[in-house]
Amino acid sequence: MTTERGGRARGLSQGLDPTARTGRRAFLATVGAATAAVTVLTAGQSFPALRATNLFAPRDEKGPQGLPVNTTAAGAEVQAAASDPAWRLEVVSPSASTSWSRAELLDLPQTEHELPIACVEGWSVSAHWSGVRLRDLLAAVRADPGAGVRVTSLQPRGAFRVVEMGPEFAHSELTLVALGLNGSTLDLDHGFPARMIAPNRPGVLQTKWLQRVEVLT
Amino acid sequence: MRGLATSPRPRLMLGAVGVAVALYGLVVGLLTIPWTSYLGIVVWLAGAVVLHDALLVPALSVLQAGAHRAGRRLPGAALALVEAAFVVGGVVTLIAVPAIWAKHLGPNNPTVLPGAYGPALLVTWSVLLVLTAAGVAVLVAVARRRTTAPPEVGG
Repeated sequence: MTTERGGRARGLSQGLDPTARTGRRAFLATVGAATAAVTVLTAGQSFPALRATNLFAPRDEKGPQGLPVNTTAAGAEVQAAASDPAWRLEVVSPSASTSWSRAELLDLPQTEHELPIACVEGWSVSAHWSGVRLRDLLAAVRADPGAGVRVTSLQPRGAFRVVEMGPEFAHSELTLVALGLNGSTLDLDHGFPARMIAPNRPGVLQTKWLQRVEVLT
Repeated sequence: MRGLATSPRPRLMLGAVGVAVALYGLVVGLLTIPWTSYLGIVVWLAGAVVLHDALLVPALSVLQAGAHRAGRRLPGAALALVEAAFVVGGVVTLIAVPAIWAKHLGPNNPTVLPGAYGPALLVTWSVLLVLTAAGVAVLVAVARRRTTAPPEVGG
């Protein structure tokens, strides 16, 4: 009884009355604690500093070249086509068309960028990509800078086998036909021989195992 | 205690900032999201409301009523701590259960759902319970000392 009265006098005792509601401060502290707990226990998938406490995130740094994979080369049935030494990337515009082998792409001026794979399934991991700027390849076929492109993958099926990119992506200086990842050759599961990586695009639209880039009219 | 949250002007300003941010989000959403996606977005947003109103709130209300009945002798702060622990544990459980279920169904490669979500959930609940029990013990001891001390100290 004395506990109850003393508690009430200090303003802490709403909890003693079964009909009382949680106080505002306790409520705010609880929301803060829950937010902090979720952040600390999941954000490690995107922030290396929190890797040690990443217990509940759907992805972590596991995966070839330190990057998770959603669709493997085997799953996409592209292993043979993507490993074929005769592979060439076709780039086609209304006025010209050309193609490059992987070695020829590597001979072009190379650019490096840190860009995230941000998956619609709720994870995002940054990586260090190297390759050729898409706009350099588009310039080689005299593409209209105001035109978007249609990008086709080697994969035989799948909802995102063919995707379109607006001119703001196609001609961005950050958009790469990536040939390397985190300092080494792009892994087959990450899109070898070449994949698209553009800023601010959902992961499913970052086409892997590139086959053809077609300028839209 | 006439602080930030009780005097009207800062409260109005905070509200105005909140409304402005929400309006900005709405305008950007309307301008950049194709209207064909609206239905999916509404379903997604409604899912959060359903999860909150149909699952989280009833579960926590039952727990709160139970805690209040069982914890009538506990100081208010200790009861608030117990409630907070259940909210934290509940939110973490909401995140972990879909991962446990999806992992049970079998992810399509080893980099998908790499965690040991079930054991991690058990460990999290254990740590929460131990920390909460320790906190409650401290708060009960403090409350007891205050009530046995002279009134001017107990306040």
